[in-house]
Amino acid sequence: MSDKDNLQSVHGLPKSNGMTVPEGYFDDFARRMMERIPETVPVPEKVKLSTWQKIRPYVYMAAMFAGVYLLMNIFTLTAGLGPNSPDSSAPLFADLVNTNTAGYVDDYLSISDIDLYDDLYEAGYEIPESL
Amino acid sequence: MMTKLLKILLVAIVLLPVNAFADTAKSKSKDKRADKTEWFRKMKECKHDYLAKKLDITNEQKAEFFKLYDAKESERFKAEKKVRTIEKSIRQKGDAATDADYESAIDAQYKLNDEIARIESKYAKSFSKVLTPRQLFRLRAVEREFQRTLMEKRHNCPPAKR
Repeated sequence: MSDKDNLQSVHGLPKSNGMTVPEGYFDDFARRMMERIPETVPVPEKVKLSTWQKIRPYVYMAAMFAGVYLLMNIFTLTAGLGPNSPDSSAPLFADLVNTNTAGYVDDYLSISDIDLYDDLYEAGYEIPESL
Repeated sequence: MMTKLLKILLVAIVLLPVNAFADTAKSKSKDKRADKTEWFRKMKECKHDYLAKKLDITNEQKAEFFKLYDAKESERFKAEKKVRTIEKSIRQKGDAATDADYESAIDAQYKLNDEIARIESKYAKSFSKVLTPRQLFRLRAVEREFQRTLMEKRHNCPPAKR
């Protein structure tokens, strides 16, 4: 007697495990399974995009460029560095005119009218009827 | 359909101020340019009056003299503007400016003096046909006096506000 038989006889367990298949279950198993499988696999329907969805990326891109353009305009206006803004790049000249004018301008020191005019214009000087 | 219309309207509303602001910026720049042109025109007239008064320029001399004088000023401004543009580009480059850039600017600055001398000399000959020697002799001094007067006015002006 094997060890397994010994154990079963000791514990009084039945030899079969109790798991059975109904009579004739596998006879028409293949047929039943085929019946359950659908003939065609359903293909997911293609989503149709609306006009808005199609143009949306382009609209966003246009808005982005418009934003960048706007920002650049703001920077240009705030910094006063537009192509037509006067050249207010004469700090030495500004210092000069704000300190002692006549002392610096003798007959031999030439100051460009264009610099002077630019500076006066930037300072908001209103031209009188006559000087 | 209604949603689509709303979306389009929304985008239009978003983009409209952007466009309007860009237009305003453009318009402001245009206005400033026009304002400056007008300011320079007035300044030119002011200088004409000043020179005419100080040099006792007669009505007969006026038309011919100021035609020549404006041509001279225009040539001078062009020459100066050219050099200012070079100087400005170097300042904008900052540390990126090369020795060659500086040399080119220095060259332009020195050449400007020669160019101004050439223009002044050229027009002095033309002026001599219109002005008396005494008027011509006084012209440069009166021009400097005009500058000094403007600089005194500038001294009393607040810092740049435009």
